[in-house]
Amino acid sequence: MNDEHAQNTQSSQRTYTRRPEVEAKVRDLLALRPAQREREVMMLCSSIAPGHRYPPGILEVLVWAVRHGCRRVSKAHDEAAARIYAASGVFLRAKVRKFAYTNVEAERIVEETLTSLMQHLLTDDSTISFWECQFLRCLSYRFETISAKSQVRRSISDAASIDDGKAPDVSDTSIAVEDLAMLRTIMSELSDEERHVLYLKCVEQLPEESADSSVDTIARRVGKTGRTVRNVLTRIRERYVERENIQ
Amino acid sequence: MNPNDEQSNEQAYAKHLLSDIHEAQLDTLLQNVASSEFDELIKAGSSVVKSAKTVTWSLSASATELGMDLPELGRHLRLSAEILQKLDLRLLRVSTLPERLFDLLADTLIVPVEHIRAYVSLPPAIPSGIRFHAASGEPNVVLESFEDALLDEDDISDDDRAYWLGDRC
Repeated sequence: MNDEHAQNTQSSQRTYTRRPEVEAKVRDLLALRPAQREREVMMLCSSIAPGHRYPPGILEVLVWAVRHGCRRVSKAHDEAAARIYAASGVFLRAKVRKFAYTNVEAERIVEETLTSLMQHLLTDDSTISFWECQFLRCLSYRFETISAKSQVRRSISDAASIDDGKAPDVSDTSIAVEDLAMLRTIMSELSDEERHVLYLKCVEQLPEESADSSVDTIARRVGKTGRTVRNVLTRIRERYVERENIQ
Repeated sequence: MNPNDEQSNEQAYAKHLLSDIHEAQLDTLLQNVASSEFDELIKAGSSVVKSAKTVTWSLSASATELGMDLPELGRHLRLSAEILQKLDLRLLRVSTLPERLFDLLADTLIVPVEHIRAYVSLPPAIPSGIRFHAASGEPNVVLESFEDALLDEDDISDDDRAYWLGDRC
């Protein structure tokens, strides 16, 4: 019920870190009494619903809530887990439609990915996981692993060899080849200023601006106002999100 | 640039950019998904969660996790700690428990009402100190009705007793 394991190292010796907005929300929830926290988690759950805008980072917060933040027997725990399942189901069904699978095969791949997700979610494990840091990326990679196994199964019709570990695995944490190609394309299309701002945001993780003059910010580094910096970031985001949604 | 730096920079960009892309995709999907499809997925998710539950649970443990002891839980429910103890040990007949007791417990403990119902319907938990054996060697436990437990209880006000029993007290 506490977050002392938040920065623990996994067996792979990799330390996972949450995105700043997720970390801030988790800290806010941790500051509440358990009953208040669970009520707040229920409120967060209701924001994942048809017709609603998806609040960025909420799935990662809910993964934390299910694994650490809520009592195992509580409405909040069950509701958060069910919302994660439903949102993942919507995401995976859209993803699987891009492949030429039969309906039965597509349903089986989605089902298998959801089962794998829920096993991870509901397993008693006190360490922070990649699912709490990059939920949709993790779900996407898990889907690709299961989907690739299905393609191998189809091409060689030999299920036994798959269980021997011959099917390709997409690691949860490394970058998939397609994603790496996409990232490089995005980066190559940026102007020098945009690339610099993105570097300061993603790599150096500086805040966009700050009222405290002793704090290093992106605005100070590039000699622009905080508003201009935010506009640059929004412009970059809109450009690649639009392109990815069209594809 | 050092190849290791390049790799770690790519990880940092990936974390930021890929999250944006995936979340924008989910945002679009949630805007357009039919409520019936989403409800069906919620139902499927709930059933997976229920079937995965193998935890040991009790009223007192659940209250403790919320920072309450049994007397405090009793104050919320207008019941004595002793009656709650009997309920927790499943020594009260389920058929005599009022519906609003389930609702109040579920609200106070923030636990699904079906879970409370399933819990109190389990066989009695028999404390080692009061274990009696019949000729068969089985524990001999006489379950009490909720009404009898309230009428026999000294540590409860007349108002609270009337709240639960109405004209029967």
